[in-house]
Amino acid sequence: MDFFFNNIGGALDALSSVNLLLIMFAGVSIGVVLGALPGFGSSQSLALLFPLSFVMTVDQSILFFLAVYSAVEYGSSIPAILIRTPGSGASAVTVLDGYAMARQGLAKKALRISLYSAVIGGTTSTLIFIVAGTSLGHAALLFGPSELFAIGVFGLAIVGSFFGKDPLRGFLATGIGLSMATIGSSGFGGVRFTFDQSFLIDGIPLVVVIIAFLAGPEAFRLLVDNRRTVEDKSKVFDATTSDEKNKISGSLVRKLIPTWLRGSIFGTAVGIIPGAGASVGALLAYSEEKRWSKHPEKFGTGIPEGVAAPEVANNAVVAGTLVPTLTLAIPGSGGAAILLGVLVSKGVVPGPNLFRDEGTFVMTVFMGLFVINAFILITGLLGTRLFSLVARVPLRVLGPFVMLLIITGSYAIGNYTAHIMMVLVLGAIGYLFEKIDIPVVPIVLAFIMGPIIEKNISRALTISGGVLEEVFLRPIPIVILLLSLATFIYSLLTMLRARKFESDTEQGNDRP
Amino acid sequence: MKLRGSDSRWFKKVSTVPENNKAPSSFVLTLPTLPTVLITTGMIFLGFAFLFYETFNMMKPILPGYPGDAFFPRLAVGYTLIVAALILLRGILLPRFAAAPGESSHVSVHWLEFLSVAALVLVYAQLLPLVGFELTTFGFMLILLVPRFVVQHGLVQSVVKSVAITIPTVLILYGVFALLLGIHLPLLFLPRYIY
Repeated sequence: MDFFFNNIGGALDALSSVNLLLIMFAGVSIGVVLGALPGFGSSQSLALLFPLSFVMTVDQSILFFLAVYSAVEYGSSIPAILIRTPGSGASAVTVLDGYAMARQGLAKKALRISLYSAVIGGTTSTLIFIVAGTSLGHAALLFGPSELFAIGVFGLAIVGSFFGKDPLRGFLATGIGLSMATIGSSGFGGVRFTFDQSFLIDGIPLVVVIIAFLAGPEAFRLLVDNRRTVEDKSKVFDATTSDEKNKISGSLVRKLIPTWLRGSIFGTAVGIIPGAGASVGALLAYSEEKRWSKHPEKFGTGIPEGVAAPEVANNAVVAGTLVPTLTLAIPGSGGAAILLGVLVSKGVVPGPNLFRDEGTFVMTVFMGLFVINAFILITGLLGTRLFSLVARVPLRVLGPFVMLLIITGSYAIGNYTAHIMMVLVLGAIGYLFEKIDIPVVPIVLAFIMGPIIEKNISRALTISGGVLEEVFLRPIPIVILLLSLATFIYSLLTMLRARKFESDTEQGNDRP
Repeated sequence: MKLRGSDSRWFKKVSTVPENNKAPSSFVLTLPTLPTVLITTGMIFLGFAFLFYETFNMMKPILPGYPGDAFFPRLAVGYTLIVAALILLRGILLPRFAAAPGESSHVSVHWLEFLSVAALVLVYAQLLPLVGFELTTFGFMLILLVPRFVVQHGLVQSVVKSVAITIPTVLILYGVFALLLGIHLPLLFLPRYIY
């Protein structure tokens, strides 16, 4: 609790700045609008807005991006409920009961449940984050460079195995990201993989990698795959009906409290696991809620618990994902990778020392999350009509805007057209990779974690005088490295088992 | 490589565009997923084998025990090579287990649209410093928006709608990037303020 009391004053002082409050409010408003755009997730939204961080201080940028991140998770439920198109994968489960409620004339009620669930999920997980983050942060202070290197490897093993359908392709993506991170000046006096190209001496800029791999494939998808997509407007529901049956009663709130509690815990726990993300959190919370329910058969027919469970969980993931991001420098998702990128680009080194050296900053982030959730509540209550209009933007028209923002954003990094070319090439590669299920998020995660891992292994080797046994055979690193190997092997075995089952089922179906 | 009308096992012409893109097109390249994954991985393997060789040309460590330039790249590239080799071996020796669960058997890319978008971005990047942000952005948006509106509206209406959307878009981007963020965009006629 010392950490809390030592830093709360400074944090509240920082948060009393009108500028910071306006920036968070702007982040929430932009985030809800981006989230309400069909198919637009948190990673893509944060990547598109990354250039805005250039003109912000570290406090402003991290709180702005957290506001966008949290608001996108809420906003993505709007198209899921109104037009049966989830704003992101995390809201895919919300479609089941949210859209069913909208069809029964309960669109406004479903949107309100989604809003309250988002705010409760965000607030509860922030409380858990304060306890878990500070405890883990202090425990991690005992770690030296060898341990931090092993944790980095473990993070990559989890990230590689979680993203995409095939763990081997996920591991390939992490390798590509790690290798890309080594391009440019080495920090040891030489340069690596520059092939006499001056623009590569400083390496590939982080913002280029983030924009190219997270927003680029989405822009290509919207422009190429959805160039002629015409949405069925007859399925768009009115979210402004204010009749008796759309009201949220006290009895409904009491009924939803256990759902909100369970969902918050599941969401935060899933957020803490690197790579799992909001989609897994929402799905887990929904299936658990169904298991706990006395009437599981009603799930999918339009019941409030079916909206509350996934929405509370996918918003709880945001604070949960900050725990490994800030304490161990392991980003749990694409969105968290961008937050980590923001910190790194501002010269803040995430990891256990952050809690010791930048206590006020960490506490400002904690407290800022409460303010952000309050802003989400206000924005959600006032802007339902506006946001339901955003959900109707045709996908084919969205593409040119996303591509233009990507181009302008990448040009803004030093007014350099070479960055547009880099984003174009890497974005096109990312789009083609996604077509063959090579996930792109691990590339970004590994690219951000690469320099941190390299710094720790180099430091450990220097301290040990190059004796590898001293670095790797210490008790904690060896346990963590063995766990990483076990994760690698387990994910491969699970995939092989799933494939064998699928193959056997196919053969069974083929038999006359 | 034949794309149109090919009778090849790997590249075949399809007559319809996926999703609800209703217009029939012969510009869609459809490839079987597994060979495409293997060819891509093979190319990655070759590229990374060259990078691994390159690590031996890097500066040697100055002091004993000092990791040096090549240490981490060799780890990262070596790891990627091993994973790529595993994917290739699995695809060749155990093709039954090579496809990811739930993976579709073919992938489709509207190659003409893909190349057009890439070419348009390339042209935008070249013209931006020469013609200026305003005209380049206006032209870029118009070229992309008009065909997308034509899907539902007439040509004249599509052009009017596109222009009506593009002008405020240029102004908003100018406001955000040039005025608010102070980024030095190459401007042709919009006022430039020096901070």
